[in-house]
Amino acid sequence: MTTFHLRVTGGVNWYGLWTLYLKEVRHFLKLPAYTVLAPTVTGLLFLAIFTLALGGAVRQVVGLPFIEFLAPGLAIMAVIHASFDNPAASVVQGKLHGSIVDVLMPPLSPAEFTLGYVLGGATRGLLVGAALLVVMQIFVPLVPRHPGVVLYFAVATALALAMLGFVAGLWAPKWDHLAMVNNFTITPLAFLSGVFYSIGGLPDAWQTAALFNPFFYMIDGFRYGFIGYADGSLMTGMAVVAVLNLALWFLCHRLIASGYRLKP
Amino acid sequence: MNTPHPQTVVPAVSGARLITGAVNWYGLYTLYLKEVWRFLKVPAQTLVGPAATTLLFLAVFSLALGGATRVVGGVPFLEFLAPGLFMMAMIQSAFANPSSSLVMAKIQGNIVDLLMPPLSPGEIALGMVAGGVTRGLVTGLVLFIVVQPFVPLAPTHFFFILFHATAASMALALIGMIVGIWAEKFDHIAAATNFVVTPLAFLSGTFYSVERLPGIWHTLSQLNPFFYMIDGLRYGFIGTADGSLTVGFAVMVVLNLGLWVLCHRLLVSGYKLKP
Repeated sequence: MTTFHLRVTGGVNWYGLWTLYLKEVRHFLKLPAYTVLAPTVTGLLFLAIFTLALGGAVRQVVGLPFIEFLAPGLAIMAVIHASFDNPAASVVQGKLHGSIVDVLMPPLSPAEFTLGYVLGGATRGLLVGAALLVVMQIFVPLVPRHPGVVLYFAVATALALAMLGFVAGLWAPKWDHLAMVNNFTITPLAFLSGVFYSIGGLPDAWQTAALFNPFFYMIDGFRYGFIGYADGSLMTGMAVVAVLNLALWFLCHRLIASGYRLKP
Repeated sequence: MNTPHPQTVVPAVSGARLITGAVNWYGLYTLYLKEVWRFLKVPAQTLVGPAATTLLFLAVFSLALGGATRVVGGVPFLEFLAPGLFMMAMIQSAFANPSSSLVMAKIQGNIVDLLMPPLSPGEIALGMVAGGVTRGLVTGLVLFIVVQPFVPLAPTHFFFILFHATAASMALALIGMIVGIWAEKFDHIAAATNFVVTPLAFLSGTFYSVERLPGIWHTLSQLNPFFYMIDGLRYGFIGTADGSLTVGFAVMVVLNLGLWVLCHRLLVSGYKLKP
């Protein structure tokens, strides 16, 4: 006679969550050239061309050499792209290959399901950001003046973008749709968020528009941690990213609970 | 009983092709069409994506620099920048088409559909490279149209625009083909793109006039073949060049010839394609 064992996981299936998280981390660690090294090279290239094109050493922005203003923004931009990419690519690939059932079948609650993907994405984002910050030290000394602020905005940004990537991955039927989301929302919002310039110098209309861009607060807050200057209000920025994270968490949870695009 | 059916007898002439003449035009055309349909089927990635990126670069540079007032090489900065951005997008598109096509075919196993038909190495190279050149030129044209409302560009030297656009696309399609033959995974292509093609394109003088660079960087720029592609195309639009146009012309011709020979040899040898 066959006996069945019921596995009891308690309130949280920690083992399952850990396994999913590990899967997500290995997903990108298997291709380090593509997932970690490439964004680092891209960040350095941006640093080089903007410095060369703008006469960076002599040019001053908000009372600082341009390169010191630029570098933290490039680091957080790399966090934005990498955190978004990991869960988005993983979910779309799972759907296309059919391997998503391996995540749907195990006893994982919607919250555990979401958390595993999101933490994996945030890990990649933070790793890429840290790698870029370390390499950029060669060209521009970057010392966090407010480490707490740096950490808060880095983690909040990584989590928010990982959740956005997760939602985009759930929605996108194919790679082409994911590329569309990247090209028309993430990249433009990141580029126009004040990484490359202080919004204080923009025409009024652009300045107002920037204040509605959540990425502006991520970049502004993160940069404040390094240079001690913010274009906008630091408190507003902290509140905006906190509220954004909460809202995204509810959205992710609802989508997974409802089985959106995953279950028939 | 053992005599074969007359219709199945194949003349024992080595290398004979039964269907075609000297050139398998029909096969070549089919391969070319396949390569073109590949990128036309996903326009959001292949055409709209580069267009959006180019507009973003223009926006960021004009916002960061007060672009309208700044003058580089005797023209407003945005007019200096735009042709460089066209060329950068063309370079990346022309490279991506054959390289991703070959690697995808290798991974999915449908590479046999390319190796089995009666196509000579020259025809395979030509079909795939022509597909890459088409994608490069179409991308360049789309960008030129999209950018017009923001940066009015009047082509002054059509010959240079046409020559450099075609020669650069061809060189990059050939490089893409060689990388695609060599690469076993998408990761290898990503490495070639991120560590070779993109850095050379970014540092080739798209964003600044190399005249302004300090000594050693100025010399290094002249050794970067991508510099001549961008410089030549830009000359076609704004009428001034950082380097010598004659040298640029020669570099393009020699580069393309060298790449053709290499690509052809790889295909003849069966390197990484045939057991």
